Amino acid sequence: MESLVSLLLSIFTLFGFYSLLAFGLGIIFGQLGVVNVAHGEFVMVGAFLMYAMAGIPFWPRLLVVVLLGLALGVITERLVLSRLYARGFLATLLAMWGVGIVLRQGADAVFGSTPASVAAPISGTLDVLGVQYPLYRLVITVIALAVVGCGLLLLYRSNLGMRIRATVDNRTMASLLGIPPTLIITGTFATGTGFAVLAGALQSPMLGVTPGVGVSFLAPAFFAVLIGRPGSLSGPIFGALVVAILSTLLRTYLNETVAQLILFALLIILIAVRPNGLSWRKPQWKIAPAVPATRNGAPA
Amino acid sequence: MRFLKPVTNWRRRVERRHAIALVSAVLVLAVVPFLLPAYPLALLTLALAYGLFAFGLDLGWGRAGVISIGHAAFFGIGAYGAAIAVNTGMPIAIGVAAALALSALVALGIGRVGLGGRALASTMAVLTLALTLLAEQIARSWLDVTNGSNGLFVPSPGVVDNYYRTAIVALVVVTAVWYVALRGPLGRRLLAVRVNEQRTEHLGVDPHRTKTKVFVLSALVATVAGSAAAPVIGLVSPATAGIVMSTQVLVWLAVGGRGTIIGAFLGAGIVTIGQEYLGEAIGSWYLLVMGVAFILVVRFAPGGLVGLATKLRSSPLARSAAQDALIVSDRTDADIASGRSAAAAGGSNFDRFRQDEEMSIRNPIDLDPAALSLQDVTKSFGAVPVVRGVTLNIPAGQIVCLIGPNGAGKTTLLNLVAGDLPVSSGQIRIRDREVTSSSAHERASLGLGRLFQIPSIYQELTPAQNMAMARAEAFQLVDLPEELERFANNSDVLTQDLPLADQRALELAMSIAWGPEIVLLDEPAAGLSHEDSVRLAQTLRIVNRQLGCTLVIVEHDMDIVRQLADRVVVLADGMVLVDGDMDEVSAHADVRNAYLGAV
Amino acid sequence: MLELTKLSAGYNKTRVVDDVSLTIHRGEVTALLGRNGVGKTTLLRTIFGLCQIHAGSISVDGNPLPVGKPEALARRGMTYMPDDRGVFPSMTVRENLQLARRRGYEPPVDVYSLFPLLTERANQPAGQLSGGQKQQVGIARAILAGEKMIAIDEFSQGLQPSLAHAALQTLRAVAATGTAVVFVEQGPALPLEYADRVIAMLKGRIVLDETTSALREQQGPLMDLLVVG
Repeated sequence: MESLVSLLLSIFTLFGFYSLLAFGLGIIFGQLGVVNVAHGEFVMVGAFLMYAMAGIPFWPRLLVVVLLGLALGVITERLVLSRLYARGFLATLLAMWGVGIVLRQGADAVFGSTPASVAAPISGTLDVLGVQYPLYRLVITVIALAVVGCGLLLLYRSNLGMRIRATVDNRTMASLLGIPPTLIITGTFATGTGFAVLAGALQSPMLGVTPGVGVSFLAPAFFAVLIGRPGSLSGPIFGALVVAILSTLLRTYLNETVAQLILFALLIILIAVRPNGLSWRKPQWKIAPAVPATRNGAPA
Repeated sequence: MRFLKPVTNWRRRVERRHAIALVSAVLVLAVVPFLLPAYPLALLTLALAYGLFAFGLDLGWGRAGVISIGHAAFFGIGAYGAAIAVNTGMPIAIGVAAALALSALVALGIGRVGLGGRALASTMAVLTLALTLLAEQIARSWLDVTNGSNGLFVPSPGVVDNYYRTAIVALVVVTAVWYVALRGPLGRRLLAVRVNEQRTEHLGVDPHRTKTKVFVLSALVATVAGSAAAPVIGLVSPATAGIVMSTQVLVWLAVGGRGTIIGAFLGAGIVTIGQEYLGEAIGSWYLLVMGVAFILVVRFAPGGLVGLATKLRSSPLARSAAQDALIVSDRTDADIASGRSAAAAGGSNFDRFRQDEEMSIRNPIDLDPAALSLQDVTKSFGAVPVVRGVTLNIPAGQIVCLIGPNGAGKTTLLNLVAGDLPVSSGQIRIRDREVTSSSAHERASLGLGRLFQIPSIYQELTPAQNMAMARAEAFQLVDLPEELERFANNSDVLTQDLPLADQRALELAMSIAWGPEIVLLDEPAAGLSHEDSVRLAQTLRIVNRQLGCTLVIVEHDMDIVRQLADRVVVLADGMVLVDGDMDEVSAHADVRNAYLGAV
Repeated sequence: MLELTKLSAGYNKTRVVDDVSLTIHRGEVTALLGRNGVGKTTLLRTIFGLCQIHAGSISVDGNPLPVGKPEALARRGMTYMPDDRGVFPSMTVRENLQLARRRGYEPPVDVYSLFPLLTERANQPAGQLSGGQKQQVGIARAILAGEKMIAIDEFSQGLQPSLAHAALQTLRAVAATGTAVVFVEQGPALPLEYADRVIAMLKGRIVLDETTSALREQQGPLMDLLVVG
């Protein structure tokens, strides 16, 4: 019983972290068609910023870090990406890889490679059905899921979100209806970056923060996006859940390497079977029947 | 069928300038140890091994556009193969051989999955990234074999020995790969796939297979480089297979210049040697600077240093366009003939037409059973039916024009026949071969040619190279009508700089030079002036008469249709409305209604 | 209001529209006719900044048009429905219409009574609609957004005849308040009945530009341009 509860709690906390990552990665991919291979580095930046500004109390610091993250996103998009879209996904992928190198090496040059640590603002544990679980982990998971939830609400319930989805659906038509695509694109990239930075900042007390810490987050986040049908906006969150369950289970019962090997094998199988990701949408009930010979005033 | 004939072709493959380059490379490499002190020589040795690694990556990334952001995994396999062999007292050759086998297997698996036609473009990035992370993880945790994070020590045989060994390996591997692969059919196809995958597929080449092949080759070269580098590095650690190494090799290649041999070695050399000397002075800022350099190169100079240099020094247009691939057929005429008859399997109409050009091909009774037949073919996009049950039999040698109002499903029908779209139901046969579920390149290799609404040609090559490419992959040999021959000697421009009318004419010329028996054309006259379209119609007539090609043409220009068509098929709403000659069609009331809208 | 001067345009090096000069007036209903591939769609796409201008110029109320910025035109109340209808497939019909509304502009007609479907299917994703239903959404959106100018490509594509007539009557009512309406058709019947002016194109050029009343008298030249054979 207790082991089951702690397993579920691990899945829950990992899901919170991954969903924040995958959501950010997913909107950048879905919206811009950019394979953001620097996503892990943005996470790392978030963690290091928390470390660097240790003088400021935790929660205000978090806010500052997220704002800096958004700024980083705007700068990256305007400076590096904006003229590359036309050259195709390979160019943007490589450019983002370059951004990743710069961030990684920049952190290495500034902070060195010894793991840095960030103090958690909340200590103590909470008793969950007989399992003593660190309170901070639960709090940040709730925050992460709340942020993702707000993000989805914003996307699906607000005017701005409607415009963003419209741009995803059909960029040309959106601009014909007066929605400026460049603004939406920069905004979306910055938001995706902001999510990654926030994830890193929240997670920082649990990490030994090193310049290379981000890279290892990229693969699971990508896995989540691939599972959730790339291009869909809420799909990655479902993907994050699958990845969180799989990796927690595998890591609990197997050693790290075997777990990673199996995950990799599963990834390959998934891509082989479903190159375009899993479609997990509700089945569509109202499929219009193929009406013969009535449309377009067909010849008699 | 398509055998490599490296030996008989050596004169063609090795030009004078290549021989000069090779000889000078050998001389320089041989002399260097007498000129350099030990430490710089050791650095140069490392740069050579890394350069070979970059060359391996370049085979995939630079030549075929196959991205691998985790290529160090293969390098690491090679390094560990050598290191494990040395540390367990086995002959090093066994370690290297095992590493090569493992790399080939892994690359084959990843390539088959990640390079498939339906896979997303980002898939290879994800897979290779995961691979390098996994390789690093395994190296770190498989203590018994890899000694974990501490790594394995590989003794060096001495600076000079090491240098010569590495130099010989690099020289031999590069020369062999260059000679056999890059100057052979694979190099040609890589170029074709990278420049225009769609056109290449319709020349009967399987792009998936070509890319997978080169990815495996690329992994193998990286593995050899890793094995060669092991004694040079001295300590093989998990980082050898890891993400940082994978990153570095991308930087080397981007800085040096993709698609060139010299670029790979130059990039690796400059960055490695620079790191050693500058790295002392500015420490970890050095890699940061390299990262910035990488972004700048991607953003502003996709050709890297070599690209910049060639911009300054004008080399022949055709040569720089082809990345040194040799665009000629490796097959003899007899090969092509036998290949064709093997492919045709039902016997070709071609020879008969050639012997008897004057025979009345307008009389369908004299002809073979259908060259192309469609049986109740349908296609829906989601719930929307676009083609709703089309049955057509097209005898060999006929010119059929498909007309119909917008949205009637004409282009979709061509796509279904060519294999660019799968049918929803029904059956398609080319001659007596059922091809309903065959891919586009399989259908092409039965002699099916295809022209597109927007000309699909090799934009970054010259017209002559376009023609050579088509002939090199030819289905059968043909004597091209004069009007189409004019491109074969044009090496002065890239086709992307030709006016549209010429681009269309070139697409036609290369498709015909390829020697098809059936050609599908989608609005060949769209965007042409009246005079140009009349000339086009004449050319098509000649192609049909002289070569016996069956033509299926979607066209809106009624002047052209009237001039050309043996038979006109009117499609409306995804179904055949009228099927007959031009007079029957224009007299038909339904046709007028379909066009004018029976509102 | 909208003026094209010696306009040539197309995609990259491909010239599709060739030396077209044309003035569109407010309050006028113009039909653009021609067979497939004569450059009608390219002409409209060029006006709305979606194709490259090779030569010539476009101006609105005497001001040159910003290049490549459809959203700038949309903000002035000029809208275009492309021939693929441009609905947002994953969004509901209601959201599709919502996106077209502009602050401070209420169209003089009620699109919901024109197309009852818009209310009936308000919550259905537009991607699940049939072609003709999408066409209704597209036309409704154009009416909602187009204060100054409404351009509709392939107007009657998929639309049942009764609705096509009703929609054109509505568009005439909109035009009466000072909006310029341009619609593309393949056949002459609807234009002759509802347009004020008919423009026909052939191979990228305007080959006929007449008032409808003049054409009704003499249909010969128009028919020659449109009919097969």
